[in-house]
Amino acid sequence: MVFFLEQLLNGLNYGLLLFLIAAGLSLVFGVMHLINLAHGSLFMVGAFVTVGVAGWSGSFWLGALVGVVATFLAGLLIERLIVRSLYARSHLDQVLATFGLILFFNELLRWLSGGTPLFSPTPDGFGGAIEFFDGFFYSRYRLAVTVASLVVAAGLWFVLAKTRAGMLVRASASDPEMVRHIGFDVRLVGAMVFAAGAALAGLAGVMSGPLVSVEVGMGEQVLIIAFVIVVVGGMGSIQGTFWASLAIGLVDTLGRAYTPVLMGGFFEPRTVASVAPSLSAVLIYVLMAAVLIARPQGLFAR
Amino acid sequence: MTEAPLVVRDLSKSFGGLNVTRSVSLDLKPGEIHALIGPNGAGKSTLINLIAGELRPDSGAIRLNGVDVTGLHSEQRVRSGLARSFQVSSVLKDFTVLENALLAVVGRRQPALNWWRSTLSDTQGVEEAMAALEKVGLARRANAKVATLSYGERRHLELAMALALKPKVLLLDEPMAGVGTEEGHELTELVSNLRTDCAILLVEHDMDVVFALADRVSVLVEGRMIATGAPAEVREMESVQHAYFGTEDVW
Repeated sequence: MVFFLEQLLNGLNYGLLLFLIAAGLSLVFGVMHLINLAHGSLFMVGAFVTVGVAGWSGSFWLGALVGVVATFLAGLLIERLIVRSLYARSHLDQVLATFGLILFFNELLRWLSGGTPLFSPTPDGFGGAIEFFDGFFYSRYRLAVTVASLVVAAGLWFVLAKTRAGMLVRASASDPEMVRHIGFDVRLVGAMVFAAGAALAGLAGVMSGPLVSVEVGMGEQVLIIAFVIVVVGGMGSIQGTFWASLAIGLVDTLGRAYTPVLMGGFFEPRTVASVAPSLSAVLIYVLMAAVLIARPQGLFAR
Repeated sequence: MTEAPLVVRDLSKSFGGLNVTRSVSLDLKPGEIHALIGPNGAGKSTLINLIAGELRPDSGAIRLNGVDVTGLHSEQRVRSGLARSFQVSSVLKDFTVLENALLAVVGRRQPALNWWRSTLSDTQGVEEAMAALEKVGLARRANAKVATLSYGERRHLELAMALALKPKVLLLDEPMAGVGTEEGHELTELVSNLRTDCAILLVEHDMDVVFALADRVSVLVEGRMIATGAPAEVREMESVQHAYFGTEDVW
């Protein structure tokens, strides 16, 4: 029971972090129809900048702030210099150019960091675990990340669903021509959406720092899963992205936790030890395949 | 005397070797409906796109209320008081009627706005949007999703959105296209009442509509403006009859 609860919370935590990454990917696709492979790199940049600034200044919070601001600015810069000329191009061109960006960021950070994985300390006050009830402890930092991600997700929903800015973004996604004809600068909307998506991925990187090892290549791992989420949820649907993120986070986490247990009832321990990890790793792709067979446009796409 | 709301001077545009717009000049007087007619391929759409800012002219100037807007993007021209409605129905289907109109109100006021403000709590904006909907008779459908509207109602909504921009000049590109006879009459009357709000440049194929609405008519043939005047005058001009209608009397 305690084990299940812990895995459930871990799954939620993972799913919500994935949402922060996938949300930007989905919005950028929805509004500009751009496939941005470099989105994972912004996650990585967020984590690296935070570790770097935290190490230099001694304050995790300053690192976190700089990390988010830096990824927002990096988003603006990438949009202006590279991505803007890609909107009118084919998806293959977009994939090639943004793949180039992955290589650029990986080599840049390898050069700057020396290539060894970095470890981010847990921020002061969030170390250790809290006891929910007798015998059930949970990491204070993970819980804080879960809550913070939920707050950001709720804020994103509010902005998109209720505010003028959100209305404009939704309108630009569904008919950019028309939006231009009522006096809006659609390119500016695009740039802002791209930068906001970058900052969200950066924030996920900032918060993931203390949970994982900060290393070159960490962006590609989450990028692939973020694409799985966007496909499962439905391209451009932020609501779909949210539920798909939670589903993928839970399936992956619970799958890794329970596949060995379930297999243990049928197979020898040696078989379990060798097969279970790879079996649980493919579970999310099985889920994606099942969704694509039942609803090729994704769960929430129109 | 202040300058006319829209002044077009010696506008030219060519694509490759093809001169689609040849030194076209045009004035739109305050409160007039000015019809732009011409045979297919005369360059009407190109001229509208040049005025709206979708295309850049090779030479010539466009002034809006005395301000040169030749170098401005289309969205900047909208904010300077130039609105257009379209040939193809373009409203946001997942939004409600009110939200569409509200978006246009926001489009007009944008520099002064707080972007994080909740859309529907903006009572002034909602009021303006409702006033525009009232004008086209769509107020009672304000909370309906656009997807549930009839084609004619969507055309009304487009007009409401153009009005919500509070334009000085309105470009109407075949506003009656694709609607039935009865809705056509309704729209004609509606457009007729709009001339008190803004000067209108109307592209229209249906001569009955042109005659019912236009204060003046300009005739474009092969990219050249061959005549401008009151509808009855223009109809009698031999050059117009020849170039436009051949020998047949289609009026």
